[in-house]
Amino acid sequence: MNDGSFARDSEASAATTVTGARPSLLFLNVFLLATCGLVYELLAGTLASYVLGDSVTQFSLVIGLYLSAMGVGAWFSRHLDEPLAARFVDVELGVALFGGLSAPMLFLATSHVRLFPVLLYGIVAVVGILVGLELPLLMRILEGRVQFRDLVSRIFTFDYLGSLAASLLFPLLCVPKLGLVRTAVVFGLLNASVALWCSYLLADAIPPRRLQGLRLRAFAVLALLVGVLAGADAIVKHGEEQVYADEIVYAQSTPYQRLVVTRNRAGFQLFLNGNLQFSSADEYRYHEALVHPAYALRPGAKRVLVLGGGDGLAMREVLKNPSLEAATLVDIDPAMTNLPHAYPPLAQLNGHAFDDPRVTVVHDDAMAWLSESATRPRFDLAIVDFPDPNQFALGKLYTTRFYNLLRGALTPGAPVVVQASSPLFSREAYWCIVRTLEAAGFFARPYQAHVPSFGPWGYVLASTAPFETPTHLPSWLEGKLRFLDDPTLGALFVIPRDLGPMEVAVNRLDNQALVRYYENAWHRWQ
Amino acid sequence: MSSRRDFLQAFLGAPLALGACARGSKSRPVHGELVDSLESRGHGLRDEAVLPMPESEGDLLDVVVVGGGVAGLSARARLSKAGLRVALVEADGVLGGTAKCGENQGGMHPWGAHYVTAPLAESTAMVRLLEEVGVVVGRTPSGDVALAEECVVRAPEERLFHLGHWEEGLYPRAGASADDLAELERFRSHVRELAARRDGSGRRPFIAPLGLASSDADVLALDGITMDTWLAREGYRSARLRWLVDYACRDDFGLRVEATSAWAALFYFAARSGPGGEPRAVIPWPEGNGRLVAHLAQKGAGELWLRSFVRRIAFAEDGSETRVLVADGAGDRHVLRARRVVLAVPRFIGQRIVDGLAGQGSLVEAPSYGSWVVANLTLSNTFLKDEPPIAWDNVIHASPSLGYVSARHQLDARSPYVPLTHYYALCDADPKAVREKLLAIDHAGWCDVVLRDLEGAHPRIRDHVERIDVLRWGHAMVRPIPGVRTAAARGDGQRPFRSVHFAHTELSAVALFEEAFWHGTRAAEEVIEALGRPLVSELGR
Repeated sequence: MNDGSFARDSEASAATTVTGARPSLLFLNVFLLATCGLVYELLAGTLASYVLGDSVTQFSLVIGLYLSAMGVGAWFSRHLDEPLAARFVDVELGVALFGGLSAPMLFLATSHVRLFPVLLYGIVAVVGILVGLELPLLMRILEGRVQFRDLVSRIFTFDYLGSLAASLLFPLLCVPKLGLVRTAVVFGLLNASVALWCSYLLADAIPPRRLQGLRLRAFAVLALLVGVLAGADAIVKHGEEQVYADEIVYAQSTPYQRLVVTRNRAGFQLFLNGNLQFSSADEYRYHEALVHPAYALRPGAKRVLVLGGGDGLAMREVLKNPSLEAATLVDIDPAMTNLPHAYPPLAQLNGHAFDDPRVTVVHDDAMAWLSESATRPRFDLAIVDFPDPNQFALGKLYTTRFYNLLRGALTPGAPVVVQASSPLFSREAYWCIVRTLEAAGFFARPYQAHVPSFGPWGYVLASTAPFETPTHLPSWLEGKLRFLDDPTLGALFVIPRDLGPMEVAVNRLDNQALVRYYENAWHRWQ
Repeated sequence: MSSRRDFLQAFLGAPLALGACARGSKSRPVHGELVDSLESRGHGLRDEAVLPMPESEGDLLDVVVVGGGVAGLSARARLSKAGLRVALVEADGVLGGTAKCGENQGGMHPWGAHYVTAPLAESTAMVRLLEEVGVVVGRTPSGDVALAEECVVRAPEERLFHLGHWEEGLYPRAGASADDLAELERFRSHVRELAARRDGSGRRPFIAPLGLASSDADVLALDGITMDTWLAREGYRSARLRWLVDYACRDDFGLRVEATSAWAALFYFAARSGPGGEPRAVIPWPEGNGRLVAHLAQKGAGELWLRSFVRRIAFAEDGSETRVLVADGAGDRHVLRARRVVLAVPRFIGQRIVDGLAGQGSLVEAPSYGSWVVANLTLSNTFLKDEPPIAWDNVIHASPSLGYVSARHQLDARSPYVPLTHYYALCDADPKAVREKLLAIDHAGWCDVVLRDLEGAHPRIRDHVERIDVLRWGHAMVRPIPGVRTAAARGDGQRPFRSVHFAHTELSAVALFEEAFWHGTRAAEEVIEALGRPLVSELGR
């Protein structure tokens, strides 16, 4: 009873003391709160697209859930009683806490496939409900202090303007400069600061004995968020903050890797675990240079083996050979070879390579598959197109053991080409692959092509029989290539001085020297 | 809960046990079983009176081999090659002894010994054996053995969980001072020196098998002191080096550095070093030394008596034959008649079954044996998702266990499971008390110990466990405390007793595959000679 009478008293006194200045500052707060609210929504939508893929669906779901949760909050606001100002500050602190921690929590959960959506939609709903409480509460606080028609007009004006600010800041400043985790925490801090400020602006409408607790809570939230901001790097490292420059149009996590397709005006790009595999704008350079020097050594190849290359783009080049009878592609990840189905522009780009009756697709560990070669017909050309050796599971596919197994799958003297990472960024790794092929009994010739998305890119052409550098492309390629011609083919084998040979160890299963070279190199460049 | 805490404390020490109970980490029951370790059945036989030996009209065999571990199987293989008629009796249901292996949905896994070191070229019998299984594929230009790449342990080989992080290798490196590293280097050069030493005939003091070693008096004198004393004597003070040496003693011998013979501890390091002191390659198999056990078994011929105990070995008055009384799995008794016997079981068993052997006094005193617990964990491969790449050998610095090896490390095939083999040597108390404690533990209790231990490095491991099988080894391996090697080097234990020839790792004082293989082959060749067959020794002495 005391409480009620006190509230009425303070409200009465507030009504007499609040002048024009304070409501206008409160409208500034409406602006800031609207900015924060939309930023949390955009964060949730972006993270949902990154992790769950299908950005149209995810953004649609997140916006719908968020807006409807705001409706729930607005409905619920009628059940909140005095002291409204104190409740308003608490709601703000809640928004600051959940919104500010949203991206950090979601990042930590990216690897938990089942937990992530639950957490994501949960956070969106909670933040939506709290944000839905904001305006009704504020309107009730200001009711009677400002003319109703002015109140409605100003509140909604600042609310919508705040959204505009968020929609501009988020893509232009926040994501590129701060990254998702820091954006969330920074806006959480802003939100909590606004709440603290409101506790001063509305001090006369808050019972004094509540004031201290409110401010303590505000400082606690601020301190917590500052702490999270300090640890943001670790969180980002733990999760996977891939700030893709372009729109994500497809994403999927598989037991082996994370597939992400982005799109921009130039075309689309495939990333595996955040590493660019190709850009549709210039992949023809990479894949023509990968496949056709080997064909130049063996223009009449009838049975071709492709190891890796689950995007089907190397296979597109392989299939240009009119005398080809059978091509086998071995890729460990079914999701990868299914990507052209899931994302049809890729099927268009690879010329529906996997629909060709000459093509067989095998899903297996290439090493395990090769160790059973004895029972299969041999291949007279092999394309080895694995991701760069940035982990032991990939490094083994570049060892003497692997190349010895590969030799067992080939006819004598069959040409082999190996994609061999960048001779510029990881020069030791590149030459390690050359030396390893030689140690496994291959004659090896290094060559490189310029692929704008990658820079100078390295390959190794190899065979168990000695061979001359190829100078002529097969005649059947005439009119079918955009990048290579005979003079360019010859030029590929010219290695500039800064990419030249280095003293390196041979990569074996028991030393995995290549992975270490590769890691060291990329540490130097990053 | 206090009994659980006492139990955890007994095996993991107070901090880990208190942590577990304070958090009240309620353990879900884990699938799996306690695999029979023969202890219960074997102990039941210990106190029975000497059984009468029935008459037998059965065929006279050339040799009965008692014990189907590596020594027994090596003897059987060698005897079969010489064309002799052999029967082998093994108490367990499978062959291999402490090198046996098992299999479940996660694939094959070791139950005990799980690797060999690349043999030195002079160890000709081992080289030939490893040629037969495709490990040795030729010679390098310098004359060393060339190994098949896929058989050598893959990188990363070893890692240590130390101060909250995995470090490559087993030396606790983080925070090591310049003095620590200098001592490590001094110790390594000490080992290099011992590995490089040769006697007049070019023999090394430390080599497995020890049958090929030189007998330098100053090296053998190391057997008179503990490794602890040796470290102090040589001025080694680094706690990190001491940890490394202690781990080596626990890992190979089931003893602490305070109890291990300095000779044995230095043997651990020097025998694993090449001619230039460089570490020799390690050869592991997914099923451990079970691979070599299967190969040896397939090389031999003749009757195999599994789940069968030899109850008594008696000699004919005229020395013409030896009778072996066997109780088979059903409890039925059979008499095997043989001209010779190879006894490939520990001496403490031999004394109970061979007529007159117990009376042989101090010459054949039985050495003591250590107790081990091996747990095979089958995890879902979701375990790997949030983990840095697992090495073959994974050790936790703060733990009294020996860590775990990953059987999948050498395989490329895809599998939904990750098998890990966790080893624990009960080093601390006197062996008899430890053994009683060991036999009191149950499956759930040991799962708790193993998981609590691994949670130190893998906090979420419980979420991924599919099953855990546990094997308690009461008498796992001979313990090389000071004096054991000295006694073994005298060779008294190797001398035949009437028609019984001895083959066991305790005759070397270190329980290694190479020693078991050596003694099995040696005993077989003694028998071949004693039976008057032509012999071209394969031992390369």
